[in-house]
Amino acid sequence: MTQVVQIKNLSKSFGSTRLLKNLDWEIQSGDVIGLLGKNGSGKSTLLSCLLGLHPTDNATEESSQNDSEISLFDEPNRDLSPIVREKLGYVPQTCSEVPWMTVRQTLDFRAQCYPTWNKERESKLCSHWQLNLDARVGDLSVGQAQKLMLILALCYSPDLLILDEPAASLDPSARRELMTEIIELASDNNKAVVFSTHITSDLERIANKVAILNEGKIQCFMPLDDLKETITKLVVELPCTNSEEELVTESKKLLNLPNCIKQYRQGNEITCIIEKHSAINIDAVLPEGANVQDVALSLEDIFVELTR
Amino acid sequence: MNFTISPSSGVPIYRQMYEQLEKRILSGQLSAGEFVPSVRSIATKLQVNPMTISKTYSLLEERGYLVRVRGKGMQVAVRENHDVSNDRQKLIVAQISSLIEESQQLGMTIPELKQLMLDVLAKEGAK
Repeated sequence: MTQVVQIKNLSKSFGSTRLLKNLDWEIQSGDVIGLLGKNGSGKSTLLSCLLGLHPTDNATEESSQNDSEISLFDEPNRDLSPIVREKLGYVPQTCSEVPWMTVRQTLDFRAQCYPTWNKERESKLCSHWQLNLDARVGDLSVGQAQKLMLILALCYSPDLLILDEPAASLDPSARRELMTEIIELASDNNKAVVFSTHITSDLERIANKVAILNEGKIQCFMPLDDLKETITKLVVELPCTNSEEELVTESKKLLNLPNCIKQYRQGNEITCIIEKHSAINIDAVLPEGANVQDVALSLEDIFVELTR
Repeated sequence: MNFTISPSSGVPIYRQMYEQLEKRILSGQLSAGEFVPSVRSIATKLQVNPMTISKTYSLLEERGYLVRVRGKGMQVAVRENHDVSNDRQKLIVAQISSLIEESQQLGMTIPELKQLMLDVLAKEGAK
C-alpha cells in the first residue's frame, strides 16, 4: 500500500465563512472511500482543493500555523508533474467539457492524451449507456453529460479517481454499471477511489472506508465494517418518577461512560452513541428501574447521529 | 451460488456472507473438496467491494472451513466429524441463547419456556 493523498492542515474560506478548518486526511492505494457530509458541508470544496483546483487559505498571523500541505503521489498538488497528472481522474458535478464538440470528438481527443486509454471499455460503456456519439456535448441532458464525464475518467483507469456525487443524475441501471466499473477498479490494489454521495446504500456496497465531513473536519474516517461494528446506540429509559434534576444527574453519569461520543435527552429517554471497543459495563452507571436497549445502526443512522 | 445481502443492515456485509457460507458448509450443502466461487465473480454479481468477500473467505479459512489452493482458489476443507458437529451445536446454542433472552424480555420464565419447547417438539415430532 502506498500513500496516494496526504492533506495536512487544509483550511478554506469563502468570504467570512470558514468551510474547512485545519483538515487532515490521508488516502492509501487500495482504498475505496465514500465521503459523506451534509449539504454545504464542503465535500466538493474538499475534493477540488485536494486536486489543487481551488486555492486554499493562506496562513494568517493570528493562527501562526503553516500553510496547508497537500500532496498527491508524494508531489505537492500545486506543482504536479505530467506523470502524476496522468494518474488522476476527476468527475465534477457539472459538465466541464467543451459544449460545441461532439461526444465522439471529445472521446477521441481525450483518448489521445492517455496512453492507457481502453478503447474496449469506451465502446462498451457508450453502447450500454446509449450515448449518442454525434450529439454535441452542450445538447446532452444532465444525466447523459454525467455519463460522458464518467466514461472520460474511467477509460484510462486512473490511479486516483475522484467522483463528486457520480450517481446523482444517473438512472438505476447506469448506476449499477458505474458500481461494477468501480468494483473493477477496486480489484486492482494500486488504485484508490474517492466518491462523495448521499446514497448510503451504494457506499455500503462498494466502499471499504467511510469519511464523514462535519464542521470543517473529517470527523470520522475508518473502515466501514469497523464503523458498523463499533458504533452503537444505547437508549436508556429512566423511570418517569425521576425529577428533572435527577434526570440531569443521570445523563451526566452516562456521558462519563467510556467512549460516549454523543448524547441527547428527550424527557426521560437518554440516547448515547457509543464507540464500543470492548464490552461496556453500563449497569454500573445505571439507576434502578432503567430500561436499556442496544440498537445496531445502519450507515445512514450512524451518519445522522454523528452529524446531529 | 446465490447469496442474499442487505447492505443497509447494521451487520457488515462480510459478516452476512460469513454466516450464509458457514451454514452451507455445516449443513453439507457445500461439501468438502468443493470450490467456492472466486472473489471477483461474487463481488461483481453482488455488486460489493471485492475486499469484503476476501475478508469473508479469510475468516472462513482462519476458522478452518476453507483451505486456499494455490492458483485454484478456495476449497471447502475436509474436517473431522466431531469438529463439524461441534460447530453445528455452536450455531444452535447461539440461537437458543437469543431465544431465551427474547422470552425473558417477554416476561416468560425458564420452566414456561421449557414446557413450550417440549410442546412444540411433540407437535413437530407427530408430523
